[in-house]
Amino acid sequence: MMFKRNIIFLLLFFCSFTNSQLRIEVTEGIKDPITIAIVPISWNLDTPPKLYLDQIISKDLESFGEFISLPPRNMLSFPNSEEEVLYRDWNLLGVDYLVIGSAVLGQDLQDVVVSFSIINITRQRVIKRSISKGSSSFLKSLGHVMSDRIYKEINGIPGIFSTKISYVNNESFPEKNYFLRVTDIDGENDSVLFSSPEPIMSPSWSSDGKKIAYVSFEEGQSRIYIQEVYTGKRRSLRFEPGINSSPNWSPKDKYIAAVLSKGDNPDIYSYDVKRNKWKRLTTHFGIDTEPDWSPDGRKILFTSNRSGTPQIYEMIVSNKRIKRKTFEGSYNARGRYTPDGKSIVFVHRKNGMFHIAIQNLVNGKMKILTNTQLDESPTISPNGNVIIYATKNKEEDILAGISIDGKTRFVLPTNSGGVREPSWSPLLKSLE
Amino acid sequence: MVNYYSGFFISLVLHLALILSLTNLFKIKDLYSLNAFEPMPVYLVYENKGQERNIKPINNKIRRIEDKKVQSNQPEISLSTIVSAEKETLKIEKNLINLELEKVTKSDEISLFSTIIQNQVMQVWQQPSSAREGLSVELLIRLVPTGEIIDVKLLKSSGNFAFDNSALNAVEKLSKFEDLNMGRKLFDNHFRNFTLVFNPKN
Repeated sequence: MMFKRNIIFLLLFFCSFTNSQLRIEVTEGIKDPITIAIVPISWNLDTPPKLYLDQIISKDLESFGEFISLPPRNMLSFPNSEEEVLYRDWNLLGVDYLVIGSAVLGQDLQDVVVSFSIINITRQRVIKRSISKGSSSFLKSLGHVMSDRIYKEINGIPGIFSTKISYVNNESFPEKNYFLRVTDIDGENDSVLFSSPEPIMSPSWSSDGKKIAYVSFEEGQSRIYIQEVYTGKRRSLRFEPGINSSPNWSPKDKYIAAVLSKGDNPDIYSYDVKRNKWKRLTTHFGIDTEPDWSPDGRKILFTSNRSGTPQIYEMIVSNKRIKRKTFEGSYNARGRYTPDGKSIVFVHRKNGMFHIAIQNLVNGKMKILTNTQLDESPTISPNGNVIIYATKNKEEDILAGISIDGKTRFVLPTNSGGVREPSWSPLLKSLE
Repeated sequence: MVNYYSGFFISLVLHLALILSLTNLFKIKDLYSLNAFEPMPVYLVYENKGQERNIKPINNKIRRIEDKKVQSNQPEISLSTIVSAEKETLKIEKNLINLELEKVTKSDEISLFSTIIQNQVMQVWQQPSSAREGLSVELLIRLVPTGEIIDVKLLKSSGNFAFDNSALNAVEKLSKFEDLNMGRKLFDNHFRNFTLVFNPKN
């Protein structure tokens, strides 16, 4: 035993000598946007479409401040094949990546087939050759799919240009009405999923991206409904007396966590979608609300006032053990896990103003991201890089966005007022 | 059960060695053994010329004879041997200091040139959006003395190809490290091949 230990010590001692090669660590780089050039796609068609794919892609990639796109008027040449690329020219223009491609009509004359290459100018090599197919009448979604591919090849995480956002808005003209809407993240293709003269609240996407659960007051009291996005079919969850609110799908869509009061104070319950059954998760005389399932499905984040002020707690679902997560300030609510499960994003009150904040669950460090006043309902992109939240701009409700590092801000163009409660869809596999 | 065996053994050996060396068993001349101290007459140490004059001549004579006797008993040490010994120790000390200095400047130089390299990489490394704390990629860089990068190898991938690519891009963009004016020996020992690690900290 003793000798073994001595030998181990000796080995460690010698290892420290043999592994003496110099290691230089780089922990910081520049976070300047990457310069990308999307060469206009050449069309082998008699009548090229009016929409330009390269413009769609450029706009997509620039939207979160991660890329700068070189406009075609600054390009020195328009190569359509890899052989035509003059690396020196692109290098002089400061281009990091180049995308070239050509499009042809598919066999059924409806589809457009684009074959394109993503080229790393610095290292002078093609990093990806890809073919994307899409309907010629939906060129925009084809552009989004191509943007997603390019984004993933360069950034190493999925692009989110084909994802959707659902939100609620109300209009008082011609008559008071509430709408549940779904839109592309660039604000296009806005469509109404459900409308009612009574309030609609808390939409939440299922993990497969096919269903949305939400709360509707159409029958006089709050009820939770599930609606299929593409067929419009809807059904209600088993109703319990009292409050039925804040539905949130588990990662495999087997359960929905929600808040029920059953005539008493609100607690967190989980609903078995197949068996149509509720199971109680928290039992406390305080208010427990706004559950969010962790990406691994083992934990639930929720807001509770059990300490006197609203704070965020985490529960391990298997043994119902609860741990408080937020300690800074007297108001922390509406917590949401980031897709890696390592951080939470929530609403934090500071000096009477409501901001969106992010907290690292490993080291507990909190950072306030927004500087607007009445921020609420943060929802995180499925790649974890962008947060969209509801806020007010000059008394008007809007949806705003911010990159997770807090550097890039934008406003989501929505054509209707009174917008609230955005919910980001997962990556939509059917479109990839 | 705690095993005190080796501890006891080491302590025993050390104590034995200490005792035996004090009794000068090893016959080491310079060791502070008890026999090494030759008794020295006290008056030799405290001899004062001023006092000597006040003493009566006869006494003085006797003293001188005694002095001579005592002096003849003492081994003769010439001034030159003392000086040379002094010089020797000075030399050794100087060498030691030089060695220390060399060590210090060497590690200083390594960290100086490491920082120079670090800074140059930092200025060209475009961190992708997927860069998160915990991701780490290791590259083996081979240089020639002019600072030019002649070979890059991926030692350890981060598992994220885009992140790996960003590191490779940075090195490719640099193609040469500037301001690496160092001695050939230092270069050969440390900078001809080195590992470049990219691990973002937030």
